[in-house]
Amino acid sequence: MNPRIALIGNPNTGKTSLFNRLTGSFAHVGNWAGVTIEQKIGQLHGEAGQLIDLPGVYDLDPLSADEAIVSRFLLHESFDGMINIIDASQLERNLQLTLQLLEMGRPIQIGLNMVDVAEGRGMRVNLERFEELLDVDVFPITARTGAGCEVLLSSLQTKERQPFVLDYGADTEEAIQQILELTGRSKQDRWIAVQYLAGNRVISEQLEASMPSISDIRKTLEITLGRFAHAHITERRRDWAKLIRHQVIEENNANEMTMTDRIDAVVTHPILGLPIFFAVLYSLFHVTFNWVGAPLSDLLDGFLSGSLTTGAVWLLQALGASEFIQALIVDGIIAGVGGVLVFVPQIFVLFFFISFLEDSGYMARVAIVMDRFMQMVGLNGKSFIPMIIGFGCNVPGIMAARTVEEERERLVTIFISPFMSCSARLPIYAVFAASFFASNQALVVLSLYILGIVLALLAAKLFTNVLAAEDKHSLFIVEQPPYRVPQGLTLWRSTWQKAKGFVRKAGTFIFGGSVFIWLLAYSGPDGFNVPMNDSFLAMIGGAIAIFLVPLGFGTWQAGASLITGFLAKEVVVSTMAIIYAVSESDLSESLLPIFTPLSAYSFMAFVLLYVPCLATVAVIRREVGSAKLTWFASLYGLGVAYAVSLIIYQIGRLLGFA
Amino acid sequence: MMNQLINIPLNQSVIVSDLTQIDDRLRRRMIALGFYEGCSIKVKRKAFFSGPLTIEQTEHRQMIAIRQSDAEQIGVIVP
Repeated sequence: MNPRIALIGNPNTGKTSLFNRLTGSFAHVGNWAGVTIEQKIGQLHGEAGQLIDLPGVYDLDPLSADEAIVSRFLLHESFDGMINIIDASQLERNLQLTLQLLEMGRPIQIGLNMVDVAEGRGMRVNLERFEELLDVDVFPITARTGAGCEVLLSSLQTKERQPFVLDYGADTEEAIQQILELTGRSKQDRWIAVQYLAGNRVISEQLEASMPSISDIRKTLEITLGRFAHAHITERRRDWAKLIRHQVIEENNANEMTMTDRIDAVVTHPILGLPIFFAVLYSLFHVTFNWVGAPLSDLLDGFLSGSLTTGAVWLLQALGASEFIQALIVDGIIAGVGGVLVFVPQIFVLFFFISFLEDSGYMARVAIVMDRFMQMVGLNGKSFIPMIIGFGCNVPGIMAARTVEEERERLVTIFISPFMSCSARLPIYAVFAASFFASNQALVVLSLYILGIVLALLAAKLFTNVLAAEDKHSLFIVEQPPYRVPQGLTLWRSTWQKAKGFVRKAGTFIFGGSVFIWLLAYSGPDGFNVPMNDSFLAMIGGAIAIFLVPLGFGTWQAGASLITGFLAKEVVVSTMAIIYAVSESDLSESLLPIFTPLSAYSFMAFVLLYVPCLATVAVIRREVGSAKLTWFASLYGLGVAYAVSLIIYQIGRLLGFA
Repeated sequence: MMNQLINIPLNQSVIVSDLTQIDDRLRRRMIALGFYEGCSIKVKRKAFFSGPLTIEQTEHRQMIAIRQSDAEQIGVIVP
C-alpha cells in the first residue's frame, strides 16, 4: 500500500513549501502565482506514500497550459487522496476551488495555511465550525516554518466519501441529470456534469468529442437562465463560499495601512518604479561580482591552481604516473573543471538574489512595472518573469513561460529567452571583464545583460509582427501577493536547488568535455603530444576562425571554444583554460596578447547570443512541440550574434577603439 | 451613477457593476479572484505611461493588476 496523494490549491498558497516539508524535497518556491509549472512527485516522510505537487489553480477550468495539467491529472490519473491547501487570509476565493474538489467525492483533507497572515489582518478562524460545515479534517499549518505539517502527514485521509452536493437551482439540476443520463454516468460523476456546464475546457473537449449533442443541453439551460451557465454556477459557488466564510471567520476589520502598501507605494511608484527596478538589477550584479563573488572566487582559484595542482603533481610523480596521465589530469581535468568550478561562489550569490526576489513578492510587481514596456513589443509584463529567471538559467526560464496565457505571447517569450544571459555565461564574462575591463567589471557585465534584453525585445517585436497580422487582445491580470520576508532556510534551499545543477554539470558534462578537448589538443595528425598549433583542435577551430575574422577574434582558439560552448556555455572557459594550459587567474594574462578590449567585447556579445546550449534546445523542443520551430529558435541567434558582433567590432574600429 | 473604472480617482471605494464588456478569460479570472459584479473595490495605484492599475477588493484585501484598456471596459458605481 503506497497511496498517491495530490496537493491542490490556489496559486501562491504555499503548496510547494508544504511539499518540501512533507517530502524532504527541495522543490522551487516563490512568492508569485505560477511557480510550479508541472507536476512534481516526492516520497512522503516515513514512506507514507507519494505526494504530487500540482500547479496552482483558481478553478478547475484552465486558462493556461500549466493549469490544464491539474484538470487532466484529476480526470485521467489515479490517486488515493487529495490535500487541499487553503490560504486562510483569502478564504472565500480559496473555497470556490475547495467546493469543486469536494464535489468530486474523493478522499480529501484541508491544510489551512497562512493563519498568521489572517490574524495579522484581524481575522480569526473557527476551526471546529469549519470542519463541521465541510465535513472534512482541517489542519492549521504554517508551511514556511513547518508548524503543523507533521500532524497533517500523520493523518492522511484515503477513505472514500460521498460527493458534496451543492444545489445549483432547479433548471441547472435538471441539466445535470440530463447530462448524466445522456453519457450513461452514475451520480458519482455529478461533478463532471457540473464542470461541463461551467464551461471547463478539458472536460468539454472530452465530452463533446464523443457526444456532440451534449452541447444542446448547455444551450437550452443558458436560454432558460437568460445568462451564461458558468456565470450562474460561479455565483452559486460564491454565495456558498461567502456563507461559509461568515460562519467561520470572526473579523475585526482593522483597515490600517499595511507594510505591503508602504513598500508598494515606493517600488510600484508611477515614476520611480522603473528606475528602482534597474537599480535593484544593478546592485544585484554589483554585489555578485565586485563585493562577494569575485573575492570568494579568487580564494577558490588560489586553492585550485595553487595547493591542489602542486599536490596533484607531487602525488602523480610519487605514484610514478606516465607523462600522458599527468598531463591529462593536470592540464586537462584540473584546468578544465577547475576553470569552471571557481565561478561557483558567484553563481551561488546570483541565484541567492534571484531566489530572494522570487520569495519576497517583488516578481509580481515587476510584471506591472514592465508591462507598458513589454506591450510595445507585443508581449506583456508577465513575460518578463521568465526572462529574469532566465538570468539564472534559460531552462527554467523557458518553462516558466507556461504561465503566459496567450499562446502567441508564450511562443515569443520562449524564442527570445535564450538571449537572457544565463549564469553559465558568467564565467566567460568574468574572465574577459577581469582581463580587459578591470576597473568597471560590473558595468561591462551589466551592459551585456542589457544588450541581451534589448535584442530580445527587438526580436519579440519582429516575431509578433510576423506571427500576428492583427494584434489580438492580450490577457493581462496579475495577482499582487502581500510581501513577506524570505525565510533563511527556504532561501538556502532554493539557491542550492538552482545552483546544484551547475555543480553537477561540472562533474559530468564539463569533466567529459574537458577530457575530450584536452585529447583533441594533445593529439594531431602526427600523433600524440604534438605542439598545440598542430593539433586536431587547432585544425577544427581554424576552419571556423576564417568566418570570425571580421568579428575581431579570428583565432583557432576562439573558434574551437565556441564549438564546445554548445555543450554548455561555461565550457568555453574550460576549453580556453586547456588550450592555454593555465588556471583561471592566469587565463586572463594569456588572453591579453590575443584579444583587444574591443574584440573581447565583441567575443562576449557573440557568446551571449550565438546558440542556446544543448539543455536549452532540448527544453525548447519540449515546450514548442515542433521540430521546425525548435530549429528556428536555436539557429536564428547565430545570425543575430554574427550581425551584432560585426557591428560592434567594425563600428568600434571606426570610432578608434582598439 | 454608472462610471468606468478608469475614471475613478485613487483610493475611492466603488462597486463593480459591469464586467460583460471585457474579454471572457479576463472576466473569469477576475471573478475567480473575488472581483465579481457587486463587490467593492478601489484603485490603489496607476503605473507610469498608462501602465497597469493595481486594484484591491476591499473586503478580501486581494490585490490584482489589470491594464488600463481593460479598466476602460469595466463599469462601476460610485456609492
